[in-house]
Formats: sequence, structure tokens, C-alpha cells
Amino acid sequence: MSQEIVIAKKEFLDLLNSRLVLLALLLYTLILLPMVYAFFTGNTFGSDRASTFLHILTLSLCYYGSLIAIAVGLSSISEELDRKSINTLLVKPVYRDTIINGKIMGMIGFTLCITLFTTLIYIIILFVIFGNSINIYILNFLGKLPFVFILSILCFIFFFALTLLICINIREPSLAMLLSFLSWIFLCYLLPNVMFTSYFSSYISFILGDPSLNQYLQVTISDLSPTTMVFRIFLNITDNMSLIDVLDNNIFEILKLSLYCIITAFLAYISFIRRDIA
Amino acid sequence: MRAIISIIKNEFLLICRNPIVIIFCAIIVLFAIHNALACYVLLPKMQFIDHNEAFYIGIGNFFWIISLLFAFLSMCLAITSIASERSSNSIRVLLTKPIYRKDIIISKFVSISIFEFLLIILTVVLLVSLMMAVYGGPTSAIELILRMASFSILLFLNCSFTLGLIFLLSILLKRSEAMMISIIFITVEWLGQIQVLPYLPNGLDIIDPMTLYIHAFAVTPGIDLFRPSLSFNTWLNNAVPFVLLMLLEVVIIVLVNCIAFNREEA
Repeated sequence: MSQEIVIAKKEFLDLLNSRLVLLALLLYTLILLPMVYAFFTGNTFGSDRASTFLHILTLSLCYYGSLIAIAVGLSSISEELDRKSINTLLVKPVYRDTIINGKIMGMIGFTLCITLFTTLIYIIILFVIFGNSINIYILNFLGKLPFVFILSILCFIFFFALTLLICINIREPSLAMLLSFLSWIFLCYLLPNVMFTSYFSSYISFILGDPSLNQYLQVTISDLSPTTMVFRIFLNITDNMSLIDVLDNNIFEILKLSLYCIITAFLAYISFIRRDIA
Repeated sequence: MRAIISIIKNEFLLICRNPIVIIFCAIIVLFAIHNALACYVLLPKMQFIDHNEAFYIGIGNFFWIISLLFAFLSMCLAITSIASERSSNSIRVLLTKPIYRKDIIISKFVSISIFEFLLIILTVVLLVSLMMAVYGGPTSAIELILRMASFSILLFLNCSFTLGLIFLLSILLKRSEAMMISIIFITVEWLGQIQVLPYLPNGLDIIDPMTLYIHAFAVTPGIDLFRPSLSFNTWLNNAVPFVLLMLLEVVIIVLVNCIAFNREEA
């Protein structure tokens, strides 16, 4: 365990000292500021203000944060494999799964830091734009924040593990980068896209000769996306629900996300242990 | 001049052999088949609109996703061409040759641009051919060719600007940082659909590349190049200033790249 903590600490400090932190915070600020301002001017969301504020934050952390997870994964493993610096680690008397554990733990620590900083920036943006009028919602908002952290960490772990899996199996760094982003486009952009899924389900049901399958296929395909899972969670959250109620109502979606993380991390483990890195 | 042509040729061949391009082409083919199959099933049901309108609706479906995929391709190729070569120091071999630094950058830019233009043309031809095979073509072939050629040029100019911008990032920053900022740019512009320069006064926001691309493509929301109700001449009259501005942006970014690469320690 101590070896894993050493690797995790090194990974965490490397990530924190890199400019990736500043760039990640810049991305979040660029995304959150117009979204909050649009909400302030248009009031396009529902009447549950605290839930809406949580929704905006969670969508940003999960949707755009998964891109950051991919970038972290690429810089963490792809560059090390390309420069052969991972060989230095592999000659030490450590198990290979210790290395992966350490990297994932380091990444979780980095994610927590980024999420905390982003939440702070978000709260500042809310106070700047809304002023004191959000005082009545802020406690409700803060009370449900642990749920947001759980969701964002699960999304981060899933995309980080997916990027690890791709980078371990594909040596060419640029190809690994392209495939990682394409997988993100597919999972977070295409699958929730109504036009894409309706087209896909329409000709599948046409081929199968049963038009009644269309709607069912469309919903099933769309539900495979982590973004859709997060979106569905927030359809059911209202201001008068406590954190326990929120967790209780959405346990199935959280388990689905966790399953995604476990499967991809497991496949990354198997690949890293079996594959000849040198 | 001979050196420039040989760099262009070499870079072009390297790109053609790059696995990224092969994967990308496979995705385009899959997407074209997906679009064609969907149009085969759904378009005949749209009997309330005429054949031409339905045909262009089927083609217009791929506008956004194709533009996004080509933006990603530009990013990957730019990072492979400059940032990866800088990080592996293989660009130093080229710098020892008796060739100006600006010629190196221009040659790389031109070769990737030529490649992207050819790929855009092939993609559009594939998508339109499949559409015509499953649904039949529009009444006017010349209109179709003009509109598709215009779309290809717009997409090419947009990709060239993206390419030039990411070249600049790759010259100034390390690979991981260049990659991160490129992702931010593409995410914010294409997926967030937020202007990179949102706080400019009205009118000046036109320099934002996404705004320019959309304005060149569409006269107003819903009335665009893929609407047969909008005559091609009307579209062209509206689009010419935006196209010229896109061209100017590409030229400026290439010049900035030349200056940055000249000053940068490789």
C-alpha cells in the first residue's frame, strides 16, 4: 500500500504542478460564466433554483471534465510510454497493478482538487451575478454538493481508465489521442444526440422488421451515455430533497456509472499487466 | 522552391500513412452509411415536403458532425506534425538543412491543408453519392455541385484556421499543454457553442472563427446553403464577405506562425 501511495503522491504532485490545472480551471470558467449568465437573464431552467445551480455545475464537471480526464490520462500514460520513462518505474520491485492503482489514486486526488477549486469559482460567479438573492438557496446547494462530487469523480475515473486502456493498447500517441477523443464524442455527444439515436434506431428496427422497437431502441441507446445518466438524475432532483433522498432515488444510475468505471479500470489493469510495455 | 516542394511531398506521404487518417476515413465511411440508411428509411415518410427539400435535409444532417470531426482531425494532424516532432526533437534534423524556418512551417501547413481539402472533397462526394443512391438526386445537378463545392470551401477554410491556430499553440507550448488548449478551443467553439471571444462589442464578434463559419454558411438561422428555397446567388452574395474574412484570418494565422517559429528555440 505504501508503494501505491508513493506513486499516487508523485502523480498528484506532477499533475498539480503542471499547467493543466490552470487550463482546466480556465475551461470551467469559460463554460460556467456564460451558462450562469444565460440562466440569470433568461431563467430557462425550472423553479428549483438550488437544484438548477447544482445541475449547471454537475453538467460542466461531468461533460467537460471528462475531456480533462482524457487529457490527464494522455499526459499521464501516453507521454510516459512514448518517452520510455515508465520503464524506470517498471524495473523497480513493484507490481504492475500497483502502478495503475497509484495513477488512479493520484488522478482521484487531482480530480478532487479541481472539483473543489471549480466549485469555489462557481460560487463566486453565482454571488457576482445573482448577488445576495442566492443566500436562501446556498445552504441547500452546499448540502447536495457531495453528490455532485461523487458523480464527477465517477465520470473522471471512467474516462481516465478508458484513456489508459486506449494508450496501453495503442503505442502511437497521436492515434491514442484521436481514439480517446473519438470515444468521448461517441459517448458524450453522439449517444445523447436525439437525431443520431433516432436515425440509428429507425433503420435497425426497419432491418428487424418491427417498427415498434424504434422508441425502445432509441431510449436504450441513449441511456448508454454517461451524460444521459447524469441528465436523468437531475430531472428528478428538487429543492426539498435531502442528500440522502437524492442518493436513494438515484442509486441505480450511480451503480451504472460505477459499473462503467469498474469494467474499464479492470480492462486497463488486464492490458497493463499482460502487455509488454517496452 | 525545390526544398519546399520536397517537404510538402514528404509531409503529405507521412500523413497518408498515418494511422489517424485511416481510422478517420473508416469513421467517415461508417457515418456516411449510417446517414444513407437513415435517409432511406425516414425521408420517404416526409411526403409533406418536396423531393429537393428532403434531399437537402438528408445532406444537411451531416453538416455539424462532419465539421466537428474535421476540426478534431486538424487538431490531431497539427499536434502530430509540430508538437510531436518538437518533443521527439526530430524537427531539429529539418532545421539543420539550408532552408528558411518560415518555409518549413509554410510547407507543413500547405501539405496538411492540401490533404484536408482532398479528404473533404472525397467525404462530400461519398455522402452525396450514397444519398443519391438511396433517395435519388435533386432536380438540378449544377445547383448540387455548386452548393457542395461551396460547403467544401467553407469547411476547408475553417479547418485551415483551426490548423494554423493549433500550429501556433504547438510552436509556443509543450505537447500536453498545446493539446489541452486545443481541446478547450474545440470544446468551447464546437460543443459548448460559446464564442471564444464573447465579450466583444456587437459586430466585432464576427472575428470569432465559429461565428464567421456559421454566418458564411447561413444567411439567417434556418435559411442556409442546404435550403433549396434560398437561391445559390443570394447565398453567394451574402457569403462572399465572410469567406474573404475567413481567408484573411487564415493568412494572418500563417504569418503569425512564421514569426513565432522564427523566434522560437526549437
